[in-house]
Amino acid sequence: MPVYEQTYSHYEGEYRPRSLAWTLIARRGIIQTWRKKWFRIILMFCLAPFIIMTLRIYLASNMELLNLLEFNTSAVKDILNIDEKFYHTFLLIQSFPCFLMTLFTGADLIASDRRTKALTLYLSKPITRLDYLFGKASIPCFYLYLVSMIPGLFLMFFYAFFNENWMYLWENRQIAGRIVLLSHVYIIPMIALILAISSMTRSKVSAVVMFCVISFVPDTLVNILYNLVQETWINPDYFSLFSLNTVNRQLGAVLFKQEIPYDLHWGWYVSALAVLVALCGLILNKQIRAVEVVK
Amino acid sequence: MAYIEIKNLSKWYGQVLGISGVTARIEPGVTGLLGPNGAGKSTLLKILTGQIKADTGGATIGGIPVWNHIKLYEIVGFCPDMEKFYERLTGLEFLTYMARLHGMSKSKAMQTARDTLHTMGLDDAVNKRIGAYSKGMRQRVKFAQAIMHDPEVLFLDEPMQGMDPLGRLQTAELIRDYGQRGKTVVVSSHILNEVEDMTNTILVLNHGQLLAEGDVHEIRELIDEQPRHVRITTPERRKLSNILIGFPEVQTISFEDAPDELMVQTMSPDAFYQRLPDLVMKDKITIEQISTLDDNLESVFDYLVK
Amino acid sequence: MESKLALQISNLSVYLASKEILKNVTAEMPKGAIGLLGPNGAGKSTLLKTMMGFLRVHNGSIRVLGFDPQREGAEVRQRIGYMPEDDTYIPGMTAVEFVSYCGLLCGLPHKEAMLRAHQSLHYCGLGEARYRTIDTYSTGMRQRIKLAQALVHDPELLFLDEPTNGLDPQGRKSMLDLIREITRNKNISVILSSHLLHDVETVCDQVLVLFQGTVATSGRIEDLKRIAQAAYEIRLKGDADSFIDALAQRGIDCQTKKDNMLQVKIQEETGTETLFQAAQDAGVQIRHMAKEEMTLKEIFSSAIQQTNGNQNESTTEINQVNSQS
Repeated sequence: MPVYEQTYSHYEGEYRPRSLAWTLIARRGIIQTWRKKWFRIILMFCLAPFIIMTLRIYLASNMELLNLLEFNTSAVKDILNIDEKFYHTFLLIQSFPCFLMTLFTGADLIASDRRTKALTLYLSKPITRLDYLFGKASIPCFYLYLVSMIPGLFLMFFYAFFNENWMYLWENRQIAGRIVLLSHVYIIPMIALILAISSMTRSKVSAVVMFCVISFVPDTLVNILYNLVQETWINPDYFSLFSLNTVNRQLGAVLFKQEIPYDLHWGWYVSALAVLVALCGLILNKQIRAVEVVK
Repeated sequence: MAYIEIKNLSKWYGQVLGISGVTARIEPGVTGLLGPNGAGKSTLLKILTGQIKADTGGATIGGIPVWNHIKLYEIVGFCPDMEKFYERLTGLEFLTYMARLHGMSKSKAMQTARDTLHTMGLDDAVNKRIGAYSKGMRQRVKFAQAIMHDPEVLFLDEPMQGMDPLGRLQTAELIRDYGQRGKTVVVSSHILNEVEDMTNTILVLNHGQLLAEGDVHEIRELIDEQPRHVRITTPERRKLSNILIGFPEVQTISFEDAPDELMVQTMSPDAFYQRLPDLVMKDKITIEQISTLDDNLESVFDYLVK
Repeated sequence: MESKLALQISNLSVYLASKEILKNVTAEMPKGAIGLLGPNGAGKSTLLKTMMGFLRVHNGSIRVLGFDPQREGAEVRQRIGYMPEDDTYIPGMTAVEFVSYCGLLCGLPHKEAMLRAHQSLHYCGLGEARYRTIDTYSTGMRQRIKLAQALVHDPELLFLDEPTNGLDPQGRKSMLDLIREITRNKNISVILSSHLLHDVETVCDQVLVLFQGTVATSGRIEDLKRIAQAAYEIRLKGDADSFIDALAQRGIDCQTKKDNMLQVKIQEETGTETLFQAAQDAGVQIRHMAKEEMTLKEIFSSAIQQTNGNQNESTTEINQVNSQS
């Protein structure tokens, strides 16, 4: 019988391709976020509108049920009209859950790594800065899909399911496209913003505060200024470019062909978002490099 | 000349034992205060510098009781083991302030501060904020603060922590000098070979108790249960071992990896070393090198603390 | 192609914020245990970062295990394990999760990463504490887990930055024993950056001393220690003065160094026999007798003094040229 020495041994096997490194960071982060109990409660809260909307679709598909209950007034019928506006409303409502998800999944992403100097550890592995950022960005992205795009598409699926009208999906493929597009209009700038903020601080609290300030303060200011300059030569609509909330509302209205709140071409708003994302990219590039270079 | 007398000193923090029943006498010169983490070194230093009160027993420095005697601070300097302090002051401001606390006049305090900074090689950093200092520079400022009033007794808690090799060599030199000037210096440190460079006198604590005090080599003599290991370098190791095997005090003989080395283990080193000249002169065996392997601070510490 | 050199640097210059940190560094270090020494600001951490491909090389070239960290940074980092100086960990994970995650990031498959994480933790003496979260670890354990995460993907070369920082004597000894075990028996090269010359002396067989961005000295420690003239260091038990007298009668010069250590210079052909005769006559015991070598401390100090001197000379030369013109 051989005697085995329990000690270090060399690894003879293959190493996995490095292009997959970001998925590891994403997977790890998604699991770690999910493990927190309070996070799951918030996630449930964020999906509450989805459940109500599903109920609306169910009722709209079962009119006879309402007739039975003698509830079939015109006001009720109005609510139960499932069209573009319905999906737009859903996404409008979800913009707050999106904010919450970003805040809770994103604020501590890079800040915690800076706090415990784990960034040095990550970067000393055979992964690039881009892998790291991409992996980290995927974590809020996953949960944001979970409260915007995915339930939006599911609502369409439910409608088709309750009415047993599968052609509905094909006929309204444009709406599906709009849901996907608008979700990304929400998601991409928010993730860029939260990552940039998270990379600038070591403390979770200050990241949370900064993100809240950037989300709410410009919105309030825009509203105040908008009303202040009504009667002057300044076009008040330009102010709407400076708040994430107004930009999202405008682009949502444009996409779903609803009444647009501000009288400016959508190109302006897309450019505003592009500028924001680019700015965040610059900050991230500088911050993540700074950790490498300056000790 | 100030002696430190420690009598039956004990200190608890709630249920946690700091030190228990330590009795020792520390003489002028450098003494290394050694022990693993949590052995009670910092507690002992805090009591001796009058920062906390012992639960039982007491200590005197140069005859002055250490608790509640303002006069103590005139003859004692202390370099604590902490990272952050007065980040917003410059080195000069900090030291001047400390000198003023020692009762010096404003101009004298300023002058003393400058001189001490110069001794510590901190001329460049005089007007820099301590917040911008490197680890090594912080240590030096702390050290400067401890020696600026030329105290009779100096307590240093990990004074070289974080210093680079040059800083370490210079600080060790400084501590040695201070001891040679007849001052009493107590240095706590984890780096045994650096302590060995400064002094042979040690005080070892473990689990709050005093394990040994005095000269390293004398302490080694007293540790009877551990046999001595002597390594002999000789081109004729088989011939030599044939002779050695006949000596009653030799316990084991073993061959080392190197082809000309021989290891002897003995319980009575005196008898063994006494025979060596005869081996060389009568038996004509060439001995190139002899080294006693476990007669140094590191092995003494190991034997004591194990 | 397998490179025999761990590190090959020629005429390397690296700038940080338009300040030249490494100035024309040239060195070749074979695989093995390499000590990296130097005072603060000598460029040690800049060199480590250049080796991992984080910094741009301004001039010259650098090869780590035969790879160019500039172009093949990921290749290099795949083959090295880095143990940072700072207290670093990823919060909220147990030790085994953390180490296996590090293995995953280095490209180990999932099952293999978990297996090797357990093995690596055992090897580093953290077997009992594997399932605890790292937040509860003591300083000594944090140092060990940093080593475990650097070893998990079976690197060829380890970068250890101040691995004994904050450890007590026993912790330090066992950490050094572990590092020596890795280099001697596991065929993994090590670059050990430390402020403690003693650490380098116990673990390393080669040394690279940097000073103000240049190489002060480099090579095998054994070679650097050798001294031309034969002299012996002797420690006695008994009266040193009578021994010195006895030697003087035989025409041998003897000096007292610190710690009762004697330094005796004898001719090569005389041999050590005379020393034993003198000891017997004087009634003392020779407890220690060894050919005198330079200590690493002396090598380090003299290398730095020399470099410092050379640089001062060259600046004064420049000053002279300037004043003449």
